[in-house]
Amino acid sequence: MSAYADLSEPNRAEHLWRYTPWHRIHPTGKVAEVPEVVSGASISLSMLDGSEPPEGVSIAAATAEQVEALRAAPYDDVASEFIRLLAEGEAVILTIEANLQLEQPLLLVVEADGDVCVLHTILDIGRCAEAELVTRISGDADWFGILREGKIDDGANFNDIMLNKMGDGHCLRVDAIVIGRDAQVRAGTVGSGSTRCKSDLRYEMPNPGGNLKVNGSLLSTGKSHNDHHVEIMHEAPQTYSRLKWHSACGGKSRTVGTGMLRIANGAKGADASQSFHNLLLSKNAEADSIPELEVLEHEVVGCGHGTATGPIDDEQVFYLKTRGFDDEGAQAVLISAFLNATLSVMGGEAIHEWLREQLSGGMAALAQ
Amino acid sequence: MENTEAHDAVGDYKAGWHDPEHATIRFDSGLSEQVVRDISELKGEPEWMTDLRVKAYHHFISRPMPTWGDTEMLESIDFDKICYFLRSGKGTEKNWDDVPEDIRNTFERLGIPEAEQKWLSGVTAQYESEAVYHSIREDLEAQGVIFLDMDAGLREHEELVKKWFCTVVPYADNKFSALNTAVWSGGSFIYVPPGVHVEMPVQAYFRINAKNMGQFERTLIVVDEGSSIHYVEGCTAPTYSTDSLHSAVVELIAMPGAYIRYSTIQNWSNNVYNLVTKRGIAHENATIEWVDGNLGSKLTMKYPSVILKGEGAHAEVISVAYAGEGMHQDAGAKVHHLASNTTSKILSKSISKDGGRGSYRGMVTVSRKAENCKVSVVCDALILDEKSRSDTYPTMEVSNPSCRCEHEASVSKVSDDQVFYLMSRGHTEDQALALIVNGFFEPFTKELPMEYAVELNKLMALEMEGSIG
Repeated sequence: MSAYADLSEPNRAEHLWRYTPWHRIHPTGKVAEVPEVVSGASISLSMLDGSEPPEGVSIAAATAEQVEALRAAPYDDVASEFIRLLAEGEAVILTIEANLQLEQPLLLVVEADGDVCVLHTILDIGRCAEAELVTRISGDADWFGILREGKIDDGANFNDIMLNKMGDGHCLRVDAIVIGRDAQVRAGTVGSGSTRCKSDLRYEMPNPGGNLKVNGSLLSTGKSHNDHHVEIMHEAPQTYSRLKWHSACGGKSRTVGTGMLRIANGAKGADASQSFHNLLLSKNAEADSIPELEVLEHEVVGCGHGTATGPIDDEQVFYLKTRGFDDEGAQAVLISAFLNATLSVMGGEAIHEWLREQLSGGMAALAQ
Repeated sequence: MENTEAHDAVGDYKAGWHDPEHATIRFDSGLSEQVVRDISELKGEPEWMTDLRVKAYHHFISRPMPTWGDTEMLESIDFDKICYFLRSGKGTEKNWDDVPEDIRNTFERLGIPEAEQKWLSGVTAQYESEAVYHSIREDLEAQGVIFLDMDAGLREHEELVKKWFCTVVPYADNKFSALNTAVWSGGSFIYVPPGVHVEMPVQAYFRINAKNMGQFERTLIVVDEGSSIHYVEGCTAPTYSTDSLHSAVVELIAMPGAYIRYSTIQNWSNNVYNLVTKRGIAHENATIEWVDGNLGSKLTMKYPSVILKGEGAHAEVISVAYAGEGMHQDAGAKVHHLASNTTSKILSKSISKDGGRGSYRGMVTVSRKAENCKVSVVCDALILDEKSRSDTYPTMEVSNPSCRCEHEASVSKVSDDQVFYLMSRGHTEDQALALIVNGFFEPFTKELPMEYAVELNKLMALEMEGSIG
């Protein structure tokens, strides 16, 4: 019997479900229903330049033991249990062996097609490995659910970037990642696809010295609804996290950013902050931010959060116009710069160039 | 209670003594429709008020407890053990000499008559369910200012009360506003006519004396065009081993160009649940300011709100909270920008100590039609020891692209460098900490009348004793 059937519909008083309640992101809207026809997403792994991954990097079907051993999502989480149920126990595991250092970023292409499509991925990043991974989601699925969980082992240095380039479908994403001792992780989310997107990104730091930087660069256009929840749990001493989330909203889009920083009792020397910046580009766009803090330890280096929401600065537009830009050109430059502030720190130069190319088409949609 | 026992219970809480209860009327504990009707009948209220109370009662019993906030503490409230009405005096007196002696002594110990003489325009002193003393300066009365306890307000100015009552906080707003509407008693009713500036503050003081008491005052302040008032309220209660409930509703209406400042020093004993709904509506170019200090209680859930309805209106909320042992201060602020060119500023500061929990819970919304609004929210928290906790839960919903909305928050401990510096200048560790804490609260204390600010600083110095090491 699936755990999903035992779970009740989440309460909207929980801010995770406040703006996109579970029934709004469920494939049929009826939470008791489980779609019978579910297709699996097709995936392919290569280096960013198209070459084969080197030895020590593998992607394969995960065994039941691996699924259980690297499980990180909580048992009472409706979204992850639902994806698990649709995937019928199947998952793929991406393994990077310990001490492996990759010169080039990895590219995982995920093609999501069909009415309901699902993918359960497990990350197993070995001790002291150094790698960059870009996951690119595209396809025309009406509904796509992706669950990514796993562990980034002690001392690893890992950049994990998710690019959503889906069509008009809905996307449910759950990430649950455990960060090892002294591991350095950069997690980036780049979004300009899917009309409705609900993400629940959870990072646990149960080991000392964990270092996490979460960046978001989102372009919302048309009638899209982008709801991202980022939860970072500092459970061990000397852990560090920074969350920077930049959203540019045009058309009739709505973007929601909710964050939870939890500093557990005993996480001495924790240093954490989160900021949500929203650029409102049209009269009908809306941006909501809820950056939350729960601090149970008083010996912290610092713990803070901030949000800022506003339009493009007229003075900056004026300055660019005096340098020869027309009105639209000046605005486009400023929006690009705003999104680039987080995009440029997601990974190395190769990734940055590649992402810029991937996103160049999205800017045109803002004018609509 | 024996003296030693009393001291053990009261501890350092200076207002924790209690007088013998001498009720002239005390209802049995527990709530029913009959209790609600009896309160209304006892007060000789008009039918519309009785009907409103009954509707609110039914809403209260049918509405579930909030599923957010400190649900564990909320669920522990036993509504059947609360006394919903207790009358202590014969009526509301205009002279302190006519107030029963021990009640008068209580307010003298709290310094109310002295403050009245020095710096207040008017005073209402509420003991248990009703006001026992009330006065207003004659010159203000002559200018048409109405300042009455709420019961007298309803009796003497029924049309005004009927026009405004429940318009800012409807009874169905939340479970506790429904409870208050059903069983309200006491509170203040103020009406300031157009163009009148009440120069010195008016004050209400709320005292719970009896065990298991529920105090449900209702305050309605209407300030007409171009007028201004500063209302100050304070509250204390004895320390008992059983719990009491304070669930007030405050409604403010600032007409065009009006100014209202509402200052609160809440210092309930740590057996009081303080579940309060405070909200104001600001019309064109009006200003509403909440200056809110939460220093006591077992659980406080209070989020002073302003609805900026008229163009150019301004809201300001400055709040501080001190959460000591066994306390949860769940306080914050809400501002809703409905009109263009409206501005708001929220500053919240909290200190958690000895296992206390301070939470900031706030909300700012900017509607689609509200052009060129400006919002600034700042919350800072200090955690003083390993057992304590601090949370912030802010919500910002912005639907207009011309709005500039900023929020920042930080949680930290007292800087060792600051303590070291002050100790190198000759202060003891406790003094250094008290100075730092008073400095931390300074943006709040400087907004208080001086007498309150001095008392607050003394109180915080006492609370900080032995906090380091």
